[in-house]
Amino acid sequence: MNDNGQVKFINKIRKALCFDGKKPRPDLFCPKSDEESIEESVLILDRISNRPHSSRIQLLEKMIDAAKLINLNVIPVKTLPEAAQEIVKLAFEKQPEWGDEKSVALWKHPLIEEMNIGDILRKRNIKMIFSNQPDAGKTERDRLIKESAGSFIGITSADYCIAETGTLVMKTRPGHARVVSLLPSIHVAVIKLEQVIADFKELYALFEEDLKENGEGLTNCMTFITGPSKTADIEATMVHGAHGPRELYIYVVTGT
Amino acid sequence: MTRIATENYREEAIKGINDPVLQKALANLQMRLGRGAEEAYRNLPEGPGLRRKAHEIRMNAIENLDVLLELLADKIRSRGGHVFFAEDADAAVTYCLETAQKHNVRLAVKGKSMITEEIGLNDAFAAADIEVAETDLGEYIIQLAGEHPSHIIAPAIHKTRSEIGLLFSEKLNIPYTTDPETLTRAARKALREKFLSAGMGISGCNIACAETGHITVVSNEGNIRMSTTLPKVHVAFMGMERITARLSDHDILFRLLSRGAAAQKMAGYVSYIGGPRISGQADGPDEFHLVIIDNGRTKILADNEFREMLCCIRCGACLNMCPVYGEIGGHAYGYAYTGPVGAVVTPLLVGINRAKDLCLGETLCGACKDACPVDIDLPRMLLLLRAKLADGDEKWNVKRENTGEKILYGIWSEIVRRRWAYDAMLNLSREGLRLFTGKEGMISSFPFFLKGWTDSRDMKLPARESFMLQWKKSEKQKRVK
Repeated sequence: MNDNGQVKFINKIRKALCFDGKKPRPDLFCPKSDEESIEESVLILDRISNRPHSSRIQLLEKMIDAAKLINLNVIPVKTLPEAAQEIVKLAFEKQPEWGDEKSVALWKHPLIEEMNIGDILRKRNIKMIFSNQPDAGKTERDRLIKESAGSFIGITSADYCIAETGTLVMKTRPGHARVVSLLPSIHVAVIKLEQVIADFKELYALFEEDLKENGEGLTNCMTFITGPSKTADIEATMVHGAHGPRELYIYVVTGT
Repeated sequence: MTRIATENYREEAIKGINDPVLQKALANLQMRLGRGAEEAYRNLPEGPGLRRKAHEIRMNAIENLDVLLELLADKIRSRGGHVFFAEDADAAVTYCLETAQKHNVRLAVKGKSMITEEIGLNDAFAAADIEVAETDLGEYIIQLAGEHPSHIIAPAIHKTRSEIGLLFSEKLNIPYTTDPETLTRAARKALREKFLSAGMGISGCNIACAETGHITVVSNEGNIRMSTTLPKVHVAFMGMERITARLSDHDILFRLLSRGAAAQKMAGYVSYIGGPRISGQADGPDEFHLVIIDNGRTKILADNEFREMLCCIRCGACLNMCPVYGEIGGHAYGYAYTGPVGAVVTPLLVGINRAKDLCLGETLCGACKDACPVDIDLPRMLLLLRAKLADGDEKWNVKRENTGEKILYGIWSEIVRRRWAYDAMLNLSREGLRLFTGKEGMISSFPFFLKGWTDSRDMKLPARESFMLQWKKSEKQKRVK
């Protein structure tokens, strides 16, 4: 059987580690057996789900501060239509980086559909590119990549947003194409206040819960995005937009 | 084949020390990132002690590597990915090359990865007439200039903006400029075309997760996301040690990695990749290959005293603190890995005798240990390598480097154990050294093998009387009074 060299490779490692199969192994996947740690995860999950509105607003303020340091724009809005208005304004004001035509790439996501910005953009001759293929084939893949590369704005949502660092957490699902947050010059993300969590400790506690509940897991590609693309490779001078988006706007819908 | 130039350590180090541009860049880098990381560790809510915890997590993974790698491979295969286990550099390179040829790849885009430097992937692709474009801006500059990287995370620090301006105006046909923003734009445009037309994307792996079956890739520029999302085939390379058991281990490791590597709270982009795109997904590669590489690592694993080295996550934090790296720069280390990590890992991978200067050149000051996000005791292992060079070692096939030195120290140890012999030697050398008195009563040139002592500094003459003698005299005087 062709196992791609696995058996030989793994046996070599076992030999190096002096494992003869007799020595018992520690349980690698639940060293959190001590009660203190279990209690801690429960506490974290409780804290997230019972966080009052006022604390969430405080987290948002923390995120706005963290964002300033990395040239990330975090903008609180009361309602979704208000977010839509801001995004439309952005689409009118900003100029495309490649070519003259303006086009916007979007996720197929309830929050984005609810904004209903299609009509108003179309009136201004701004093209819309949706990543909403239920069974995306090979040609569909090529089309989406090509058109997203030509877009100057990409609009997505996210699974979570981390206040401490301003990090967007995104899993890959049908309709949530990866290129929308990558190829356009400006990345815009719309999220609800409830999606803002405090730090990575909370994020990994949520993942843990998700794994235990046999949820969808991390999917085949999960990405953390912290600020716009950046480089300091030429004489340590910071430049934004090395390869990914040059600007990043996160609109957080706080509710009234 | 892989480029190993560890024999040129001395010449390259002297070149580095005499290069004013490099000296300025290194000082700036160490000030910015080295100090920055130190502060970032201090500001951790758990304090710098978190590094110890990270060490435990890594060690636990290393000691159960067989189980973790099997699980990772199973999970990735179950998502439709391919996993190949490569015993050495050649096997890894051949697998990747064959995959590229199967898909008629003419151009591959690559995210920065030290392991592909280690296995010499680019040269093999060039020989097969397949273009490999480096896409990290620093690596791209180095590739255009036909050089090799000099720092793990800042590969082009030895280049000035005017050098880069000249290079770009020649190779990319743009008007000469020294503005980093304009230069970055030019590279962005040139590489964007490559990203969109490449048939293969190549990446490394920062820390895989066995429990969920994912590799992770980290960048600030977004080039690795491009390389792993746009081309139809993605080949990822990982050293077999780059894995942890549990997803929750990543919380601590990524926080420390970002702080250690670039004094950031979090790197710009972190992606967990676990397989090719699935039905309904509009992008991502159609094929995903993971190549897990040994290339000498099981030998390190089998040696309890060096096993700790496999905890390393190649963040470059030790380079940003090391006083030796800060003077000589990265090229002296002559292999993919530079700085203190290179000084330990390179001898273990390419041969301790062959790369002896690397571990002999370090100072044992301990700065690298304090800088390490996973608290690896590099100074201990540097000493151990030196011991092997001094005495020879069968297991690592080390020949004794300097028999004369061994004999000298043998005599020395006999002398210091005898008071009378020691005193006689001191008296003799006190008088003897006076024969070398030069300008201003200093010794400025020793002959033969002692030359090194006075090559770059003058030595003071010893006192006429030893401290012990003076002490005895003053005691005697006190009693007389």
